[in-house]
Amino acid sequence: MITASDKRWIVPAIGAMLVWGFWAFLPKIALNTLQPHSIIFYESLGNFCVSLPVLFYLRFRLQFQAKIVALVGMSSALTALAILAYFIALHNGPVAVVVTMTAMYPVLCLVLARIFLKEKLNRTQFAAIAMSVVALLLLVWPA
Amino acid sequence: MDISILSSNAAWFLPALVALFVWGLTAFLPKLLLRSMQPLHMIVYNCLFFFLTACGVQIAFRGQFEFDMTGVLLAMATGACGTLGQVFYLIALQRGPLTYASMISSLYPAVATVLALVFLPDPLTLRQGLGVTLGLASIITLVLASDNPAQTKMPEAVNDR
Repeated sequence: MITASDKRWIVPAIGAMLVWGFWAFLPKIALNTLQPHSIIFYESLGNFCVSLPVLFYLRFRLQFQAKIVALVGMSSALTALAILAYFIALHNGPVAVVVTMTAMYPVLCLVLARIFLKEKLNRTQFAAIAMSVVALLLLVWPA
Repeated sequence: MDISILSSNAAWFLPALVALFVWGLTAFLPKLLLRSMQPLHMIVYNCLFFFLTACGVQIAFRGQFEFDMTGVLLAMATGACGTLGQVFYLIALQRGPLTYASMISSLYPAVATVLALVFLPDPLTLRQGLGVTLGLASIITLVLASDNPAQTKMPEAVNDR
């Protein structure tokens, strides 16, 4: 069993945090010279810069199941459109507020799972939802 | 709630809300798909379909193709960071517990906030600062509430961040 005492996971986890931090921040500067729809296009080229080595690593042999690939396609398309909305928000609002607000999306998953799947939530999860609602109000309430 | 209170923030609030909802709705899908597809394969497919969608967006904004070297490099760096983050995250999940890896990586808004405070004239009000702090606390609470720290599970959603 893998445990928290095995520390080899810390470096990549911190790496993910740092590069995602840059992912969230860099478009704000790019928006000085490009529109959101252009940034998303060039971002997709940047994605390829990393996914191509991955494709080499996989020796160009990708798993293929039509139904699964179609669902991945749908998920990716929706993600891209959400990122477009994120860039538009970033264009008009402060980075810290927009990034924090959109990063709270797992809370929405919990609420939807409670409403539609009748999943039970524990007290800590309820506390997280309450905190995120208060945070949201603090972030969007004008001075 | 008085809707007019939100109207002054609508230029960023509404699209941010759209992003929040779409990410929230689609976050569970990759979790299900990862039962049938290996994470690295999914990353490649994600990039491919992301590119196709981006081309669709370009067509929707026809006649407005833009090029500025600085902007292009920054946008490409954004994409590279997004995908690289996925790879790092998957490596962390392979080596360690989901809860701790998720908690650390989900703190990326703190990194973006620090970068914005250092490099941009993007001041936060005290209330917004409290909101950011509470938002980060809610994310950590959510991650800690969701799983047994010593357990390894399938990777989380492979979104572009």
